[in-house]
Amino acid sequence: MVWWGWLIVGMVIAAILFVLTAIAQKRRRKGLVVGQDSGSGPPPAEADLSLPGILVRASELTGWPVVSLAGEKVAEIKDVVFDRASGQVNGFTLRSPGLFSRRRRDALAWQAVHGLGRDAVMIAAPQALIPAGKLVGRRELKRGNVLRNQVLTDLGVDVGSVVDVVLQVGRGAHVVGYEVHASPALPARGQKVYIPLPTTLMVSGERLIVPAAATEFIVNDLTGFGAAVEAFRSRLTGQQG
Amino acid sequence: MRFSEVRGHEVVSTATATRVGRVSGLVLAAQPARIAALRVSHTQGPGTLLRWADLGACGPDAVTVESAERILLPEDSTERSAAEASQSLLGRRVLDEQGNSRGRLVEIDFDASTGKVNILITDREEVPGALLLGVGSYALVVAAPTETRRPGSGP
Repeated sequence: MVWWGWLIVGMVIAAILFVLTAIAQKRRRKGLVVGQDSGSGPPPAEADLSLPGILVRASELTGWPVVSLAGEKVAEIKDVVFDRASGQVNGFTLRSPGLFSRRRRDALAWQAVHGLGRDAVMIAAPQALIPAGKLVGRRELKRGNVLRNQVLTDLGVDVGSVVDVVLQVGRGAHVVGYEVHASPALPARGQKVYIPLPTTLMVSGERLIVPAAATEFIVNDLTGFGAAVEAFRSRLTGQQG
Repeated sequence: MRFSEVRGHEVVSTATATRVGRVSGLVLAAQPARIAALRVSHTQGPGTLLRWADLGACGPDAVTVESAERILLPEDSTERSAAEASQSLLGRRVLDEQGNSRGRLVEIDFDASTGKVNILITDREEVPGALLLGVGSYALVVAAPTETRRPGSGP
């Protein structure tokens, strides 16, 4: 073959590789946050809110390695599955590590989480995983995604759409807030802000209702958000009592 | 003795006084943390492993062995996977059981007479060998120190 023949072959290969990597990257980024109705998942984990725990965005968990105590990487986190009413994280769906990672047939229930730190999710052994169907049904997985849901106050004001979910991870993991793309009704319109959630949530498949008071506790970054959640929740309990 | 000191040492047969191989690495095992075997390269036979029990001595200048026949192939799948997991140990990430990184392994300090691992040295800190829980191809897993043992929280 003449030299320009090789050049064309090289360019075609480069183009194919580029497309493949682009597809792979798109697949990798995709992670859902799935809300499920109470009782549809495994029994809830014991809640212990006495520990402050760390705040983490659900999207950050996507791709986190699931590592056994023997030091082997078993899988990667794909989606976060939580209980709609209590906000409690029931577990995670998984994908296989690698460029063209596929959803796995097994899942990680919260009870089997040995430790969740800044760098990995630890499990005792690969046997700790359960079939994915026991954690979340296929239909739920498709319909339950809360990302891009509308957030509405109980006074009927549109707060914005959900960009991400903020989890508090201690002995249990809970949804404590939403990162929303602020609507024009808010002073921070167009920006991404964090809104705290009450301990019991009112969520449907497409919408989330928050008490109007929650808008007073909106913050711009995650560092002050833990305090905002606490202040908001103590205000709510104060009103009740 | 340290891993970097023993790596590259000649393995000498005490029966023939000849070099029968060279230490290329070691096989780390957990619970209790110990050197299970030495990985040997440049051997005459097909063997690559010298089990700690078969070792003559792990001296300051050379490793001695009764005969070259002590250098064996992995006996079963468990031993083979342990040997594979211990390939290129240095640089391996070290995680604690809470899922927090403790750095990357840079050195192993062990007792040259018993093979017991004293200290795992990472680029951040020194972890007592007794805390080692598992040696995998992805990471070494160590127990969290008891005073900071709180699920999900950072140290």
